[in-house]
Amino acid sequence: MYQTKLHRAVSWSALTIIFLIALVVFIYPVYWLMTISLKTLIEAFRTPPSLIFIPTFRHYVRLFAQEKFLLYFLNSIIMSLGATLVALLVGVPAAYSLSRGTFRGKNALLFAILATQMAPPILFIIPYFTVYVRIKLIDTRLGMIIIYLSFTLALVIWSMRAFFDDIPGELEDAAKIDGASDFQTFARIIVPLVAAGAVAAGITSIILCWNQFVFPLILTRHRAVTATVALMKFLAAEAEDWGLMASGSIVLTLPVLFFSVLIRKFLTRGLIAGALKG
Amino acid sequence: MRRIDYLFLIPALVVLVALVALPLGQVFAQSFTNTKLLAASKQFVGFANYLKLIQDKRFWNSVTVTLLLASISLVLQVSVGLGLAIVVQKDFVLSRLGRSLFVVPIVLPPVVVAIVWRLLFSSVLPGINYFLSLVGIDGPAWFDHGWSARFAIIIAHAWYCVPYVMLMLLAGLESLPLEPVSAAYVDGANGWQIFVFITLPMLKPVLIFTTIYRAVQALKIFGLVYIMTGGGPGVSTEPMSYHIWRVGFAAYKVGYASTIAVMMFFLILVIVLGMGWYGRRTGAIR
Repeated sequence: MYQTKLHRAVSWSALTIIFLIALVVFIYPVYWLMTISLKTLIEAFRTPPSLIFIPTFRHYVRLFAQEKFLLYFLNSIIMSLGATLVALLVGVPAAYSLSRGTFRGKNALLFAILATQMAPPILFIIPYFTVYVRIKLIDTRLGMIIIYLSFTLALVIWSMRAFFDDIPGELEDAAKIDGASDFQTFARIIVPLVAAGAVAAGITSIILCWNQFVFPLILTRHRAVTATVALMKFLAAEAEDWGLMASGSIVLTLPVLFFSVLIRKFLTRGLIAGALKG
Repeated sequence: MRRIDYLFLIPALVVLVALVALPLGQVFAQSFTNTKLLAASKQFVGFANYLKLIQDKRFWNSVTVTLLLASISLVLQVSVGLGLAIVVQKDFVLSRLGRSLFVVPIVLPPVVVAIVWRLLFSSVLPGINYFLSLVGIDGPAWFDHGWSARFAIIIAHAWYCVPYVMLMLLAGLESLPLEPVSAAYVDGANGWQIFVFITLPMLKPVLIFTTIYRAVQALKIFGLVYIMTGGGPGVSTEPMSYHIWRVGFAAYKVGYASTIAVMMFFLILVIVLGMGWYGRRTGAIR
């Protein structure tokens, strides 16, 4: 505000330098991965890395020619959608009650739901594994959807409660005066108002499921393997196949990129909602 | 309590109890047994597992590794994240672009993050070591030594988490009132004084919340280790999650693995409560 021209020029160039360094640090690795997926192996090993090269799509062709890669991709899609839909169906009404309800122990319940999410996934895997072996849910999509619910439901409840909290209570009072039942008020008045929020929570949940690694790594073998775990298997192959890993990584990232752009506005809000409420 | 609340809450509670509370309970109960994976027989052994744990060098190694990786990564995340949040908050030509570009790592699945950094630290591909050679440094074979393997994991972890921290702190910065800053300007404070004495104290609640949240995530670290180093060389990068996996699913000692898992849960709980207590004591969290 009260700065000289020189002062401003110095801080402007300092900011530019920080900006450029950060840009290289955060963008270059991703750019480099992309080039590896488009280079022949010989080209990928060349030092210094060539900036101009003839792209080849052979790694992508090889990727989709991999036995069962499409099945693993489909598994990831089915599990993410399944766990998210059930979580929304069960979680949205629960979040409404936890926002509007005036019963004792409400806050304790909310805190307990959050606290369980502190437990590391590996802790859950131990009991799930033993039970799944017994009831034959190991290496099944249904089994994976069930274990994914253990975190998607908490996510939906917490983020949807924040959206319900934003809706003024007068709306419900008005509906009640007009003779609507509690359920009608919820279904006809409130749900349409939080629909956008529910979509955002659902997409966040889909991304979270899509990214899962530890659960499918241990609880699947052949049939219910997800795309993330399949990708890791290229690494464990005899010769580490960089090209396949790079192209697989890009293909795995594209859906997340697409959905993240869709919910950009909600992303920050969801991250910060808890912080500002204290 | 309205009737509709029962109708709405009970399904969610049933699911949460069945899928979250019961498994947690089972792990706790199992930690007092010598259960083996896929074996029918198991015996109650009291506190034997816990006593064994105290003398288990490999367990303590995993605790040290977890705390080391998590704490250094946290310091990096919060300091770099805060710096970038301040840079992109400035009314500056490039800052809008920075908000979109610095968050690129967020869209990568963690598995992909691990693969990118495994490639970058590889000694055969022109990654980190190529850039080091440009400034005359002969980079090590990163995954062959304990210290450098840990360094590689910390860098990869912080790289993935910095954008989250940046976004949260940016939202925090933007919610701060402007009046105290203007008042300080009028009183003749310089930019650094304003940051240290005005902005930082006002940002403290968000800062503490962010740190707690990221700490919980950092303490759970597993995937990066699994893909980048496999816990090696030796056990130098074996954090608790990874150790539990080895004991439970490679050595089939599920009872003992449960004991370690219970300890890990309490460790996370103590750290979170400690940070929350600090926040309350300093008045940052109400």
